[in-house]
Parts: sequence; structure tokens; C-alpha cells
Amino acid sequence: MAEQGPAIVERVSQSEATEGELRALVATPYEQLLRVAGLVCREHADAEDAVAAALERAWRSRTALDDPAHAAAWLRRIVIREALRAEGRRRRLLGRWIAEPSAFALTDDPDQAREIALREALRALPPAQRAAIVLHLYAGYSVQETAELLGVPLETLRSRLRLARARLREALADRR
Amino acid sequence: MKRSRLPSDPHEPDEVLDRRLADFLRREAGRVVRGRRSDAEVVAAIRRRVAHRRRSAMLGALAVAAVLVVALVGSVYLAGAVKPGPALPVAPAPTASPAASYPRKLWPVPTATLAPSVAAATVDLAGTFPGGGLWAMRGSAFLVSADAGASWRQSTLPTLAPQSEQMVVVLDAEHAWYVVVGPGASPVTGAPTDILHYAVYRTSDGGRTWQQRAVPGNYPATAASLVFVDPKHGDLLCSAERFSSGTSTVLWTTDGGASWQVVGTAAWIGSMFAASDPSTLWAGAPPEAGPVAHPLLAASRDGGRTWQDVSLPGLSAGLGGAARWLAGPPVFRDASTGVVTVTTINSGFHPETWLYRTSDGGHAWSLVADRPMEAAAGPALLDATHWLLPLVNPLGVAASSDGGFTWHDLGTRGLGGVANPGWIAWIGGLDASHAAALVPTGHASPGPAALYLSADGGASWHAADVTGVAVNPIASPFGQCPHPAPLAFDPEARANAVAAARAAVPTLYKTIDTAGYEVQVAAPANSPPVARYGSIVRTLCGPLTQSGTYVVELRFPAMEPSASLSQGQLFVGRLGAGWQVWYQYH
Repeated sequence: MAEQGPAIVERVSQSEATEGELRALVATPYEQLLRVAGLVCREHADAEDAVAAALERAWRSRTALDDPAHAAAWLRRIVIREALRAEGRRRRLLGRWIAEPSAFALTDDPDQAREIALREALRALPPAQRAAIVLHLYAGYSVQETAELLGVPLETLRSRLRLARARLREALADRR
Repeated sequence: MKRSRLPSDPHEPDEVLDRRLADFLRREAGRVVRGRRSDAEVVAAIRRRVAHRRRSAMLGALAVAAVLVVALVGSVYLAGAVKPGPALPVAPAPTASPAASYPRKLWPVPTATLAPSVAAATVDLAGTFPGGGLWAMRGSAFLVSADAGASWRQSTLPTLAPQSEQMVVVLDAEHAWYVVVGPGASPVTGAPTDILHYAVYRTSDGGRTWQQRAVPGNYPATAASLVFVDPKHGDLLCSAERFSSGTSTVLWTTDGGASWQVVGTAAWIGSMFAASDPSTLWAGAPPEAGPVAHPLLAASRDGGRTWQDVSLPGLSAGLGGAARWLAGPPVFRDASTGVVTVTTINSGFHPETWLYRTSDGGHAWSLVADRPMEAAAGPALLDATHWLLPLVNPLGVAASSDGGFTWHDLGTRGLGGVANPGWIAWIGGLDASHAAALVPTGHASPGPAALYLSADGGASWHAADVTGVAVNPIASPFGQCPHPAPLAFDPEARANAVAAARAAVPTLYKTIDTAGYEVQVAAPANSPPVARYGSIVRTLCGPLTQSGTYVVELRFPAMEPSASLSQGQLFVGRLGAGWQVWYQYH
């Protein structure tokens, strides 16, 4: 991912949020952050909310960032936390009201079928496992970095990755 | 790296799987940002969060201060410095003043949404009529209550149309009109290419019998709105606000709907339609009117022949700039007294709803309400002074007991638990203490909604009891209800259903660009993934038809980002020897 951190934080750290500054804050990192949140959250609206919450939180906590060079990772960490929080909220509050989304799609194209199966399997993963897979395989963090980002011990993270891989592999195997 | 021990694919190393997964995640990430919120929307969301946090911090500080005061008083008491006096009669707890409980210009993010109670009856449409009456539509059932929902009289609608293509007006327990898009009209896509004509059904015996009349002519229209002020005089507005010409047509009837004549046309009048007397009509801009140079509110004093813009004080001075619309049609208690509800977007991208009232038949309007609110719809006038307003922020019901000048929040007591999607789509007043409300059960608008009733002026609500009302199977808009073969275990059923849907796409969606369309979902109508549409099938034609129907959901990427045009839902069943689409929901 492109490192947009210093510029973002410089804008964020303005003391008053003018309209232009807020727009600048949103404009640069939003899509990058939304991609990560969108992979962690099952619902698109949750992902959008998570990024908005993260940007607001980043704004408030801007003094906590020591080194602007780490701004991108810092923002991503906040986004991940907000996304996991949104997922937890959805499961806690809405789980019994809303059926789990499911593709049930039909296609004659085996590649497309695998894609759908993988998407379903990814959405079916527990949020913590989903976040681990996304950070490690999509965002490119090492296992150690991913564990630190998620604030879990290394072995816990390895276990989550192992379980997530197993479930995703199973989904792929079913579509062979 | 350790190899997976899963039996499903023991030969694929983790590294290979990881590469495949990484490729997949990159593709998925690309999908995520399609249809993202605009920067302005994100900025508005952040601002709401900031405001919400400030408010929470303020309340937290107040709570801490209160605890400290209580602790201080308690410690003084325990130390014996204060001896308890004689017991006093307990006074009722003081209620916070509206201004104190809801600071002006503070827009908290809704932290809760409403989920209809599982016991609440779901209806498709509902409304009130003069004299304290309440009506509802549920499938093909047309329900009328003259006792604030305590009992219902059921009759059957003469036909059934998708919700976006129908409108009901009930004048009293006997007289009602039902407008649907007429047979032979182009498919209703909501696009500015629809040329529609309408059929009006009327009943004068409470729904026992209906007479159909075709409305003459074809009109570029995206919506039809009907009003009746008495059993004889009614007006139909074929609204074309989204067309490039913006020319809408007004028709009227003086014989209760037996015949219709074009009265006039008008450019850029909205579809929020109302009548305050037989010759005075009102048309306001709905939320979806778009940022065109339309008048917010127009009035006709000659039954729709000519229209004039209505001046609402304050709006021209910058209340919301160009982004403003009516939260609901104008509401009139009589020919003189009425209310319009205007929503504007302020400079901070916050929606603000303003109420205007008139007491001289709409010649002069004055701004009322002690604060702007964010309303989901127009107000319910329980009587001349007691009004209710469904709020989005904070979610709940606001009440006024002085004709709209001051408001206080009543909350959502009895309106359901905490879940999604959760908003109050409509409140109607029945009498000084009774009201009805609709809470949608899904995201569709219009769509199924739970009907709630209040007998204490909106302070508390309970689910309306219409569960005992049977829903009669009735002919679908495409003919009689089909009786497809029940879906037994058949590995080819799904493929056949999809093939039938694909075969029908060129015909059913010929007014839109279907290039690159894809089948997103194909599932039995009684299965969870399509539960929402399954319930529509059941409502339309009963459980037997549902058990033989597949729901096929389509996506038309060429029509994105339009939410309405980029999706389609078809109901497919095995009829006789072959599979056929028997209903196009969208």
C-alpha cells in the first residue's frame, strides 16, 4: 500500500477541523482504509462506518502519534479495531434479526463458483480470523506484525491463521 | 511453513493457498470501494461523530457532578449534620425541558435503531382517514378499522401491484380508491423513460365491490399521487419531476373517479401532493427530486390548472441552500389549517427539518418549532394542538402539545427492540390520543412494515393485531397466481430456474442496459437467503406457490450506481413442462 501517512497526519493534526481540512483528511486515505475495513466487515455500510469512526478517532488521538512515518500503520490499526468493533456490534445486536448473508449463486463458470465460495467462506469466518487473514495476506504484514497490530500473542495469531486457512481451503475443496 | 492436515486438499501447500487467497483478497478489495460514500458524506459522518462525542462527554461530566453532589450530601447526612425532617408527599419527578434535553444544533449519531417486534403485524401500506379511521393493506387484503385498530373489517383488493406502482386513498370507511399502473404500460423502472398510464379502482361499499376506470392518456411519469377531498372530487398527479422536461400532469374527477379529465400541466412541481379543498392543491419536492431548480412547494388555487410557487419565510435567506425537500406531503386538518415539513441540509451537511404552519388556507406560512429536528416523515396531527413527528436523529417520536411550537422527545417505548434497519417511516393521527406508526421490516422503501398503535398520544406503542386476518391468494399482475410444481430434490432445478430467468431478461429489462449482468442469487423462495422475497411470493400467491418458486436476483453493473436500476428480482417456477418467470418484482 502506498505510504500516505505523514501528509495525512499533518492534515489531521490541525487543531480546528475546517471543512477543507476534513475533506482533505478523507480524500487521501479513505479508499485504502475502506478496502481493509471492507474485507473485515461483512456489511459494506459497517465498513464505511468503521472508517469514518477511525478517522474521527485518529483526529482526536492525533497527539498520541510520535512518529508521522508510522501514520499509515497507525490509521490502519485504528480502522481494524473499529471494523472489529462494528462486526462485534452487528453480531451482538443484529445476529438474531438478520439472516447471515449467503450467495447461493449459480454459475457455470468454475472460477466464478470458486470466487463465490471463497467470498462466502471469508464472510463466515469469525471476525478475528478474518482480520488476521486480511492483514497478513492482503495488507502484507508479517505474522509478527499482524499479531502486534491485533494485540494478540504470536501463537494466538498463528492459530487463527491456521484455522482460517483450513476453512478457506475447505471452501475451495468443495468447489473442485 | 507447516502443511495443512486438512483432508480436503492435502497436496496444496500453505504457500500456494496463501497466494490464491491474496489474489482473491485483492479482487475483493477492488469490489469494496465501488459505490463508496462520497467525500461529503464521509465528512458529514465524521462531524456527526464529533458532535455525538462532545454531547456524551458533556452528559458524562454532568453525571459525575451529580454523583459527587449525592456523595457529598450523603456524607453530610451520615455525619449527623442534617437530621431527617418529616416525610413529605412524593412529587412526580420533574421532566426535563425540551431545550435542556435536546440542545439545538447537536446531532448525535443514532446509537440505536428499531426492530419491529416479532409479534407485530406486517403490512404493506397503511394510512388514516378523517374521523379517526385507520386502513392497511396486507397482500391482497384491504383492512379498515373505525375504532383505532381494535377491530378490522377485511375485504379484498381488486388486483395487486408492486408497492412502488400502487397508491391507496381512503376517504372514509366506505369510500376508497386504488391506483395502479395500468395494463400495457411500460415496465416501471423509475427511469426517465417510463411512459405510464393508470387505472383507478374505486369502492363505495367499503371494499366489497370495486369498479375499474382507466385514466385516459399516457404520461411521462415516475409516480402517481391521488387525493380526494370528498366522495366526488379527486385529483391525480402524474408526476414527472425526474424527467428532463419536468412536466407533470394533473387530472381531476368530479364524479368519484368514474371519469377523469386533464386539468393542466406544470413543470417542476413535486410529487408530495395534497389538497386542502376541492380547488386548492399543493405539490412539494420529495427527497429524490434531486438538485434541480424546482420549487420546494407550489400551490394551485384553480384545481390544478395553474401553479404558483409558495414562499416559505426563512428559506430564501439560506436555510439549506438548494438542497431542500419536503419530509412528507403537506398535512391539512381542514381547509384553513395545515403544516408543511421542510428538510434542508445545513452547511455542516446535517439534515434539519423545519415546520411551517398556516391558519389561513396557505396564503401565509409561519415557521414554528423551537428547534430544527431531523424528521423521517411529516407530522401526525392528533388534534389542533397535539402533534407527533417521527425523528431520525435521535431515533424516536417527538411530541408537541402547542401546535408545533415546542417539542419534546417521547422515545420509542414499545416500538421494538434494537436492531436493523430501524426507523419510523410514518405516523398518522387518529384522534387526540390515538396514533398509528409504521416501522419498516427491511431496507426497501416502500416495503413491508410493522404496524404499531398508541393510545396515549405516542408515549407508548403496541403492535397492531391484524395477525388473524387471512391473506387471500389473488391474481398476480401477470395473470392468475401460478401453481408451479413443488421443488423436490432436483440437482437441475436451480440451473433450470436460472436459465428461465436469463431467457426472460432481454424482454423484461429491455429499457435498461443489461450488458454484463450477472445472476447473484438463485434460491428457493422459502429459503433464508431470499426470505424477504419469499414472503412477498407468499403474500402474493400463498404458501403453495412459494414452495414451487425460485427467486433469482440479478445485478446490472451497467446501471450502477443507481440502486434501483442495477438490480432485478424474478420469481420462477416449473409450470407444466417448462420453467417460466411468473413475476418480475423489480
